[in-house]
Amino acid sequence: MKPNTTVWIDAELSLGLIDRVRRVNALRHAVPDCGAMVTFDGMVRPSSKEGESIEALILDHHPEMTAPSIERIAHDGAARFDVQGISVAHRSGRLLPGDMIVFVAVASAHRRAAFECADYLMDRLKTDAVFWKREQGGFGERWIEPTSADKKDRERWYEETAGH
Amino acid sequence: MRLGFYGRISTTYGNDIDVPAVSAGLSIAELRRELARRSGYEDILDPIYRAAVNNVIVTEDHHVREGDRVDFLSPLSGG
Repeated sequence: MKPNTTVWIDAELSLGLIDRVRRVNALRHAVPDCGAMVTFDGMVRPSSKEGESIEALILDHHPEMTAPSIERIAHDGAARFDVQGISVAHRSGRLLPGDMIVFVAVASAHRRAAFECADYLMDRLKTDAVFWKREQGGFGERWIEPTSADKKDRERWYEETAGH
Repeated sequence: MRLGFYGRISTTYGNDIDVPAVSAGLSIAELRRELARRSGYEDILDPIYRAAVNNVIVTEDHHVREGDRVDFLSPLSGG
């Protein structure tokens, strides 16, 4: 059962580079008495699922719906897990292989809640954050949409809820 | 009426179009059929493309009003 405590949240739609050092420091500063911090860096892969080289990944966002969707996911994580602080940043725009596309950090008193919350946040960001991705390469350009594995990853959180 | 298209569906209809003389009061389902009729492209009839009115996802029986902003959203893919 999650205690009813205030969780520090910083959720952002980022149109430029994500400053992960600043975000980690801000989280540590906001939650100085945490016992654990889990961070996740998501980077643009250099090749497609089919093994072709990727020149760029382009993320489109909605001018009004995207930022609130990121905030909602962060708040859902805060409501679900016994954590003390959440930092989420998601890029939009044209990214190159190796660029950071998403950053998640979760601080908590004990490690398991931070690990689980970060895992939950990433599953939700993959399927519920309001973004559209397309990859460019020698093959031209094509849209990337959620896979059945992505949807399954998201659903497992709801299956767990239903089972409790 | 201005319509926005996001993700894969934008390759068919463009990012943002003005559809003249579409009367307010149409349901989303009726709006889809009207758009398909006018454009000649039926992609929009696929319910995989969800509709949002004034930034809120709506169902097919939602009726649009004068001045509403209607967006059609392809499946999301963040992360």
